[in-house]
Parts: sequence; structure tokens; C-alpha cells
Amino acid sequence: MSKPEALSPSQFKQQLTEAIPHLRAFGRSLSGDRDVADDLVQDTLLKAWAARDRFIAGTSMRAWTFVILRNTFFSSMRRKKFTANYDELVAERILSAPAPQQEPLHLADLQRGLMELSDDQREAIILVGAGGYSYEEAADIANCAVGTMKSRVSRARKTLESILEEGRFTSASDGHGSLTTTALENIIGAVEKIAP
Amino acid sequence: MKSKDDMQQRLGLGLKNMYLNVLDEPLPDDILTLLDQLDVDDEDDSDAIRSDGNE
Repeated sequence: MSKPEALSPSQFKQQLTEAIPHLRAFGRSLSGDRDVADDLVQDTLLKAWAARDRFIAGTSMRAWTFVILRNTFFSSMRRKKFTANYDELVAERILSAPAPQQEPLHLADLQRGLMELSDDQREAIILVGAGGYSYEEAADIANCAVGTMKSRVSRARKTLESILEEGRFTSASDGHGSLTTTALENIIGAVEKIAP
Repeated sequence: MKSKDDMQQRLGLGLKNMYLNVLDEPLPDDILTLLDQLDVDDEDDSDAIRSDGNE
């Protein structure tokens, strides 16, 4: 079997660098914690660099590194290195993010809602709903069948809608006091401001 | 009353916005430092990092 075509170290590093913002977004959505996400990204960069000879030129660096990140996250969760919990500080940072076209408070509620999902469902809705991956690409990253990915996304959407619509967050994700309006109303209100 | 489809569409947009917010952030110093270290290792042709293994 022939060896796959490899990138030069500088080419590899350039593609790896370009993937970092996406790795941070994926990691933060998975973990619900900015610092944990950045630790995950650093672990991922080291592992990717160590395995760079195995990366095939012309394939997706982002997808390849997403696999490393999610494997690191889930294996570390089993070893209790990372825990997927809502972090109020993260939400506050999201709240203060410089995105004038958005209503950040609603994104904090969304982050809390994501933390209510199972790990599988959260990963699925992040990849497909937030990251824009196709079901096929997301299934490759999550190492599951396409049908399984579709099912996870569907269940995640329903569960998330239900959680947000009713504003029912458990103590595991509850970093705030009681909500005066439902989270979904907040999100819808925010999106209405930016939707064409 | 918003329709179910409308809610789903707007929820999807909210998810995308959450993700995009992170993309706009500058990279933290510790990640930039790590990238610099990868450069040094590359120039030194060191395999120190390679011993970390793959997940």
C-alpha cells in the first residue's frame, strides 16, 4: 500500500493554524467552557502535529483535527480530566462578545441549553447545526453511521427546542437565576433583529 | 404564535451565530506560543512532540 501524500511541515502548519478558530468553536460548544476548550485545542494541536505524516494532502484539515479534538474530549471525560458543564463566566464572555448585530444574552441561554443535551446529541447539533457540516461529514467525524447522525441531530433539535421553549434548565447548567422570559423567545427575538 | 418551522429556522441561526462568535475572537497567547514551539521543533527537526502519540 502506497504512503499517502503528505504536506510539507510549513504547509501542514498553515492549514493547522487556519483550523484553530473552528477547533475553538467546536471545543467550546462541546465543553461549554472557554478554558477547557482552549486546553482541548492545545492537546489537539500537539497530537495533530505528532501525527502529521498521517494527514493526507487534499483532505479536510478541519475535519481531521475535529476527530482528534472530539476523541480527546470524550476520552478525557472518561478520565474526568474535562467535564462538560455550563460555565457562567463563559456565558458572561459571550454576553460581552463584540458582535453588535447579535443579542448575546440569547447565545448564553443557547449555550446553557446545549449543556442539557447528551454528549452525542450535543456533538451532532454542533457539527451540523452550528459548524455547517453535512450529515455525511459529521458522521465521519463522530465515527457513526449517517442515519445515526441524522437521528442524533433530529433528537437534539427537538430536545433543545423543548428545553429552550420552556426555559427549563437543570442545576447542571444553571449558571443564572430564574428566567423572566423563555430562552427560545430570547433567541427568536435576537435572530429577528438580524434575519433578512 | 411562531410556527414550528420558524422556530427551527431561528434556532439554527442562533447556533450558527454562537459558533461564528468564537471564530471572530483573536487567538489566545498560549495557543500562539504553542504554534511558535511547533516552528522551533520543525526547524530543529526534533521529534520531541511526536512522542505524544495520537488519540
